[in-house]
Amino acid sequence: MSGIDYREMAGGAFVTLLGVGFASYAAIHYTVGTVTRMGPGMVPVALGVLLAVFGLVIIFGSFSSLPQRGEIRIFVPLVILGSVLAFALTIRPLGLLPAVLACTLVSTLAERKLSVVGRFVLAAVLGASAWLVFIVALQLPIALVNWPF
Amino acid sequence: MKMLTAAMVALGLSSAAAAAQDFPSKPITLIVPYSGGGSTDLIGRQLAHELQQIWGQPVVVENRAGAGSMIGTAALSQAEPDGYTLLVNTPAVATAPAVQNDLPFDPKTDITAIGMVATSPYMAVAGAAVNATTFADFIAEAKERPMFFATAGVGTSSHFTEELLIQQAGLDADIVHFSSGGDAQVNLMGGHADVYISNTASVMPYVNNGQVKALVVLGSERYELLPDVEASAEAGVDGIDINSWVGLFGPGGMDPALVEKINSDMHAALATDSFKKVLADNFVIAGKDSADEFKAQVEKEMDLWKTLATERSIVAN
Amino acid sequence: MDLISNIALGLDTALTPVNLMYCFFGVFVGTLIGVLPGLGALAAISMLFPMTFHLEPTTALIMLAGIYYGTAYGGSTASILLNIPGTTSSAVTCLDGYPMAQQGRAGVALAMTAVASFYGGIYGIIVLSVFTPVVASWALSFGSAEYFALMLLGLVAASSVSDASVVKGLAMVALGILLATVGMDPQSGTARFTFGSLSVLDGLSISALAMGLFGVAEIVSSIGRTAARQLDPKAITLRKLMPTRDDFRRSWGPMFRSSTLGSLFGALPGTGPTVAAFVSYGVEKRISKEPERFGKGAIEGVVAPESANNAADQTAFIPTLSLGIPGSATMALMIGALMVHGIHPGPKLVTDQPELFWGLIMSFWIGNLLLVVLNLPLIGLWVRLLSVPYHLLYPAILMFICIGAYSVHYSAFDVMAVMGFGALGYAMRIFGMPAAPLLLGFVLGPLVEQHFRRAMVLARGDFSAVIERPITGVVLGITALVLIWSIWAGMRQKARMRDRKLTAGQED
Repeated sequence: MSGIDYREMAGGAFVTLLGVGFASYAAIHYTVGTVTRMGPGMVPVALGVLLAVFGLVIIFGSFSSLPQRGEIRIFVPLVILGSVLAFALTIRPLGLLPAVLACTLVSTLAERKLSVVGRFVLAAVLGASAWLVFIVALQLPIALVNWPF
Repeated sequence: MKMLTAAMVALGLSSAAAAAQDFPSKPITLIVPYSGGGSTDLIGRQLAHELQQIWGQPVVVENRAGAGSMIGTAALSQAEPDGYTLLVNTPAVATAPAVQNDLPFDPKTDITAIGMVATSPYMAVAGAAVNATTFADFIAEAKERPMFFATAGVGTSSHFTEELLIQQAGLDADIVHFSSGGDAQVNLMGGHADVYISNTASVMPYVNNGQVKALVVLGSERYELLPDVEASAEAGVDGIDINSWVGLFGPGGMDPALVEKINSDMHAALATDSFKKVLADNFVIAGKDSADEFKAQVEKEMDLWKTLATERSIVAN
Repeated sequence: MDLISNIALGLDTALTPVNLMYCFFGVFVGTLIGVLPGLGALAAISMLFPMTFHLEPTTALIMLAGIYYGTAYGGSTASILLNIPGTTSSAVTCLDGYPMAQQGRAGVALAMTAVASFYGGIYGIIVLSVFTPVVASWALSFGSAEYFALMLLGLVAASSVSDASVVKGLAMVALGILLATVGMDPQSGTARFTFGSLSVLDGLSISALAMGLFGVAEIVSSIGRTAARQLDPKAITLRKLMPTRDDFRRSWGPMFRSSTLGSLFGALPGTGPTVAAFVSYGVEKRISKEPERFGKGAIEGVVAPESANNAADQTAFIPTLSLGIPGSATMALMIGALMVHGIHPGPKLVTDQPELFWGLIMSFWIGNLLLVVLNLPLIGLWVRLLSVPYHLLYPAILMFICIGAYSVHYSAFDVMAVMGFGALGYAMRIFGMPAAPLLLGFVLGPLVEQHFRRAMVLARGDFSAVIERPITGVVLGITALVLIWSIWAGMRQKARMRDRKLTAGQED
C-alpha cells in the first residue's frame, strides 16, 4: 500500500457526480420505460448509474495508488478558454476580422513571449490569413467586418 | 370623391411604397433551414439565382439546418422585417411547432408568409414487404397485417401525414421513426418497414428507379403530373385534403407592400424557363397564391397539425 | 471482358483535361482542408457546391469527391504533428502518431500515413468497382437489429483504444454516450438535456467535441512546455523520413485488415470513416502480440485507422451511387450535385450512366495517385512546422479551430461548445482520463441506442425476435466472446500493473 492519491480521488468524485447528475435529471424528467420498450430516459439513467459506479471504483482505487505528478494550471486554461469565448461572442455581431483579432489578442496572454506590438502584429497577420483562406479562397459566407448600427 | 380617397390612401402608403419600390438596395440573405443537396435546398438555390437576376443584388443562400428546420426559422424570426432576410421552408414550418412546445418564437406572428414557391401532393410509397399494388388492396392487406409506417423523424410532415392516413383509413399500424427520408426508404427497400409518405420530390427518384412502389397520392383528385397514380379518395379514404409545398417567408411584421413586391418578383422568377425545368425535375408545380392566400393556408395547417398532435397524442413531454 | 471495357471507358472520361484538372483541384483543396484542424470536408464541399451548377455532372462529382477523400489524407497531419485531429476520422491517429512525432519519427509517421491512405483508398476502390451490386443488396438486408448488433460489437471491440486503466476508459465511453443523448430523442421526440435551447436540439456538434477535447486541451497542456519538441530543421534528412523495413513489415497486416473493416463500415449508410478508424485501431490492439506498444508510437496504430478511414471514404459511394441513399450529410451533397443535373442515382446508374460511374471510379485512382505525389514532398514542409515556435503556432491553431467549428453550422453556439469541451478535456487530462474513448462513445453510443429501440419497435417488443435473426445472433455471439475475453485480459493486465506499481513503489 502506498498512500492516497487525492487527485485520483477527485477524478473519481468528478465522474461520480456527472453520473449521478445525468441519471437523476433523466429519471425525474424523462420516461424510462422497460428494456423492450425503452423510453427516452432509459439510456441516460442506465449509463449515468454506470458512470457513477465507475467513479466509485476510481475513488476506491485511489486509496492504493501512487500519487500522480504534474502541475495543474489555472491561468493558462482560463486564458485559452477565454480566447475561444471571445471569438464566439464577436463572430456573429462583429464579423470574422474582429473575432480573429480578439481571439489572438486574448490567447497570446497565456505565454508572454511576445511584446504588445508583437501580439498586435501576430493578430494582424492571422486576421489577414483568415481573410485570404476563408473568405477569398474558400468563400465562406462569413462577413469580414459587420458594422453594428 | 373616389379618386380623392384613393389619392389619400396612396399618400398615406407612399412612404411604405417607396421603401418597397427601392427594395432591394443591398445583398439579401436567403436562409435554407436544411443541409445542402436536398430538394428544398435545390429549389431555394434556384430561387436565389433567379431573384438575383431580377433584383440585380446578390442573393446569398445560407444553410442553417437543424431541429426539423426550426433553427433556421428561429434565426429568421429574429431578423429585421426589411425583406433582406428571407427563408424557404416546407410544411415543417407548421408540423415542427406542433411537437416542439418551447420554441423561442410564435410561428403565427413572428414570421410572415410571402408566397408559395412550389407545391405537390403527398405520396405514399410501399416497400418490398408489401404485396398490394392498388390502394384498395393495400388497405385490405394493412387490416390483415398491421404495417410499419416509416417516418423521416418525429414531427416531420411524413410523420403527421402518416398519422392522418392511419386515422382516416381506420388502420391499426405502428409508426417507426428513422433518421431521414432516405433512411426510411432504404428500410422500405430492405423490407424492414412497409410504407413511407412524403412529397413527390423525395419519393419519385426511388419510384422511377423501381426501388419502391408508388401506392397513392393523398387527396381527392389525381395529380396532374402523375396521372397513373390513384388518389386516396378513389378507394374511399376521405378527409385528407392537404398538399406539400415549398414556401417563401420573411420575419414577422413585414410591410404588406413589401410582401406584395417580393411575392410578385417571386412569381416572375417562377415563370423563367430554367426554374420551370427545376420544378419539373422535382415533380412539383409552381405556386400561384397571393401572399394572403398562402398565409391563410399556412395558418390552417398549423391548426390542423396541432389538433392532430393532440388527438393522436404525438406531443412529447 | 466487360470490366476492361468499362475501365477503358472510365479512363477515357477521367483523363479528359477538364476532369483531370478538377480532380487535381479537388484533392488539392481536400488535402489543405484536411490539414486545417476543425475545417472538415462538409464545410468545404458546401462551399464549392454552387460551382457544380455550371459543371458537367461527372466533372462536378469528380471534384467534390476529390475534396472528400483528399481530406482523409490531410486529416492525419495535424494529428501526428500537433496531437490535434485535422478531421474527426483521424482523431484515433493522434494516439500513436503524436508519440511517434515526439520520438522524432514524425516524417516516418507521415510517410506511412500516405502509404496506408493510398492502400486503403485503392482497396476501397476495388471493392467499389467489383462488388457494388453485391454490397448494395447486402447493405439493404441490414435492418435496425443487425445495425444494433454490429455497432455494439464495434463499441466493445474498440473500447480498449486508450492506454489508461480499463475503468477510466469505460467510464469515458459511458460519458461519451451520455453526451450524445443531448438533443431531441429520435424515437420519442423528447428533448433530452437541452434545457430549452434550440441550438442543441440536434445534438452537440461532433467537430466541436473533437476540437475542444483534443485541440484546446492539448494547447492548454503544451503552452510553455514545448522547448523539447522544437527540433533542428537540419536534422530532417530524407533518410529520417524513410520508413524502415521493420515499419513496412509491421504494417502490411494491419493495413489489409483495416481496409477490409473500413470498406465494410463505409458501405453501410449511417456509419462511416470515424467508426471505421476506431474499430480498426481497437481490433489491431486486441490481436497484437504486444498491445502495450500501442499508445506509445506503434506504427500499426497509425496505419490501421488511416487505411480504414480512406477505405471507408471510397466505399461510402456504394450506397450513394447504387441506392441513391446518402450515408452522411457530405454524401447528400454528392447526390445533390447530380440532382441539379436531373440525375437520380440508383440501381440503374451503373447501366444508364456508365461514363459517370466508371469515370468517377477511374478518377478515384488518379486522385489517390495525385494525393500520394502531392503529400510525400509536403512531409518535409509539414515537419518543419514543428520548428515554428509554439508561442506563434498556438494562436494560429486556435483561430483555425474557432473558424472551423463555426463554419459547420455558422453557429456561435458551436464555438461556445468548443470552449466547454476544452474545459472538460483539460479536467480529464488532470484526472488522467483518456479522451479517445469518450469520442468513441459519442460516435457509436447513439447508433447502438437508436437502432436497438427501433429494432424493438419493429419486433413489437419481442426481444427474442431480434436476437433470432441470423446475422444479429452471430454478431451478438461474437460480441459476447470479445467481452468475456477482454474482461479476462483486463484482469490479467491489472495484475501485471499492480506488480509493476509495487516494484516502482519500492524503488521510491
